[in-house]
Amino acid sequence: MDLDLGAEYETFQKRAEDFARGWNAADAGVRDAEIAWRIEAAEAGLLYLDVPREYGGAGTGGDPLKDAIVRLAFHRAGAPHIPTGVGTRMMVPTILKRGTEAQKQRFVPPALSGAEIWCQGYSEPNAGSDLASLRTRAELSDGQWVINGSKIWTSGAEKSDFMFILTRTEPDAPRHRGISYLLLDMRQDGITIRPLRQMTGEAGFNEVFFDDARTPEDWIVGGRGDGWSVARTTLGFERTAINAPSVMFDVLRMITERLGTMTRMGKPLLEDEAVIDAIGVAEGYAMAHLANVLRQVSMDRAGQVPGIAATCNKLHATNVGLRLGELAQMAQGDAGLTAPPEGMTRDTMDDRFWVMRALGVTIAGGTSNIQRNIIAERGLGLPREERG
Amino acid sequence: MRFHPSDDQLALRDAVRRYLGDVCDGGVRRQAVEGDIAGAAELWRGCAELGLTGLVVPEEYGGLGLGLIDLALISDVFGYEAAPAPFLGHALATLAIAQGGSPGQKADLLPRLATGEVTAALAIGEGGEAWSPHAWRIDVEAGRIRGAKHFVTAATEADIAVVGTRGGALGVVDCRDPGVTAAPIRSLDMTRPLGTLEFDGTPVDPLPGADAERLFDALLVQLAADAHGAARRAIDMTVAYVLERQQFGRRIGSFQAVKHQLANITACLVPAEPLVWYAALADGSGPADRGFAAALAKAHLADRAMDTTRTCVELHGGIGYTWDYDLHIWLKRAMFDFSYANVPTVHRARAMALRRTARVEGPSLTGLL
Ligand SMILES: Cc1cc2nc3c(=O)[nH]c(=O)nc-3n(C[C@H](O)[C@H](O)[C@H](O)COP(=O)(O)OP(=O)(O)OC[C@H]3O[C@@H](n4cnc5c(N)ncnc54)[C@H](O)[C@@H]3O)c2cc1C
Repeated sequence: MDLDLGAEYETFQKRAEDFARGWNAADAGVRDAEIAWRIEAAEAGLLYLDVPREYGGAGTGGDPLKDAIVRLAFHRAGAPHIPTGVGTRMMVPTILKRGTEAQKQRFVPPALSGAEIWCQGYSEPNAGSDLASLRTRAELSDGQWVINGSKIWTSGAEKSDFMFILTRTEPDAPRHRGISYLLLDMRQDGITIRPLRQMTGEAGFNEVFFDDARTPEDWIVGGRGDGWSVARTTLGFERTAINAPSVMFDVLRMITERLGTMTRMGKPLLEDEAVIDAIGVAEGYAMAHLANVLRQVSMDRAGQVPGIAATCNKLHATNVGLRLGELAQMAQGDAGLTAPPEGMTRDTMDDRFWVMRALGVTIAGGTSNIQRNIIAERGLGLPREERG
Repeated sequence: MRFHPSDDQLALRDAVRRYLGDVCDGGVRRQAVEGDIAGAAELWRGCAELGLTGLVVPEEYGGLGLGLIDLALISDVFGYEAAPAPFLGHALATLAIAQGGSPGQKADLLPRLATGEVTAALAIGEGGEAWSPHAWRIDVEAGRIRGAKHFVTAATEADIAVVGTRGGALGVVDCRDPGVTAAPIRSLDMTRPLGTLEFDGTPVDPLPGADAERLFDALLVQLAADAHGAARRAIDMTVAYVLERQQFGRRIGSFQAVKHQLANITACLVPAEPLVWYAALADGSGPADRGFAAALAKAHLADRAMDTTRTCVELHGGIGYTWDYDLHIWLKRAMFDFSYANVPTVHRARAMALRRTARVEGPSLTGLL
């Protein structure tokens, strides 16, 4: 075993760093500039390696190590990387595996560049962990799906162009067989979005109401009633962890920097044994997470299935986040008594409020208890939960 | 870059697991716990035949010439099987000689260590939590030492010991010398009984190229690996048990509370395994990176192994609390790995102190952080 990049990857790393230097810092946050940048980066063979060229990728074949190298190079240069969110993470891989040729051509390129933003319409007021009990209906009428019902907790619905949505299309079929995976234009009259204020004060997710909302008949991924299996093509929870270490270490660094400026009754907080130990505990978990990600990257490259190492990803990432939250609270001192600044968004929220951010992760994308069920059943072979 | 074991490494690991598993499950582990070490002596001879006594001995001296990462993969198996063998101390003492010995010392000792003709002990602890090189207080005067080393691995069986002395120096002592008294202590982990070595003007042969900090870090990595193996075994035993045991008319493994307790310890343990590999590979980096990774790995794995084995005892109910059921053997293996060479808080404090240096020494180990 070794962790040396080797000549080939060092050359690649240099190419990524040279390319990243071409980013103009003044363009940060300028949407068109970011879109153009991603398209160029894909053409240069740096982004979306596994996506064929005709759909806006580099077409050089997936290589998670190269992905990690580019992520770091772009991160250091402050250059835009893959847009965060469910479009690239969930919709694109699902369509590439299960979608039609027309769907691939229509939807993949703009999602990759960030020109079109997606949201995920899964959860409903009465269908959360028990997602298969969802009730939002879609019926075919004159070559269109007509959708009625509502979704809830939809992150980013207000700024999204499209939604991938799970709907009940076969009311008489067994629950898992009656669901279809549809693609839907958000900019239409039949859709009402009502923002929900999160505990942090920010508006991050929404209720979405469908009142005869429409989408073309062929904007269905997979066949009628295949939606459940299509949705499970992309096990988001196993993948999300791959990006997590850089976030973890960023947050850890911010927190320790803040702690470094603080004193308690005249004594630097960073000389306090309890504080040192708490940082060390968090760092132990974070380093383990990084090592586990490197193992998965390595196994992936060798064509091996990481198995239980991947099954643990989400719960472990959540554990690290909770530790960081405790540290963040410690690093607040008296400031922990004040509310976050007005108008803070997901993107501007800083490490001080990590104790709350980390809680979102225990719920979103499959709660921690659901992760525990999966680890116990799929990872350890224990008996399955009874399902209603 | 390759960060998962190669086919060769897996083949060696599986062969070792088969051998240790057969012998240990065949009764030798239990006999050792009851104080009968005849089978353990036989096991150690078998280990020598497999080449395990010479894992880190260069091939020119008759060993397998493997590195710290290979040693860690095998330490993991020793933990998994709770093998009653002086493997840990022998491996580390041998490593000290391979890394720091003069050509003469190597030619004299390494071939015999590799074949297992000579068994070596590691003598570093001085009591009062004095474990690390800067805490060693035994002076070498005119080539002789006086004083005691505590918690020495295989103290009463070893032929030679690598002893840490003041200023972070290391030297070899012949345990058969009349100036050496070896006394067993009542040890918690009976698969790795410890003892005290007393020196009364005993000749010591200094290792001229010794790097005690590096050796100490290598020790931490092996303890972390052993802890992982022990914890993994406890989970495997517990999964098997909860699939058998029935209460309230159903298998206890079908209770969600039981499943979730197992899921929690698994989710913490599984990602910790490659942290051991990371620390083993850091042996090739600068001292700050190396020390940071080793200290953090020892602290993290020791904590995980304690959480894991304790939860596993709880999940067994009454049978788990008995002497006759084997589970406590792995709990004690974990407790040894937790306490030996100091407890996690001490290592975390060191890791945090080294952290700043590690980041400025140059690109981190992976270049990907
Ligand atoms: C920040 C945030 C962003 C989100 N973004 C989106 C989004 O963009 N799109 C979307 O569709 N959804 C989104 N969600 C919704 C999220 O997926 C659901 O909240 C989640 O699946 C849980 O569903 P629920 O809220 O109905 O809770 P419930 O399912 O009612 O769960 C309540 C509690 O019961 C536990 N529980 C439930 N079933 C079991 C079981 N079988 N065993 C053990 N315990 C169980 C849960 O673990 C939880 O602790 C988001 C949520 C959050 C917090």
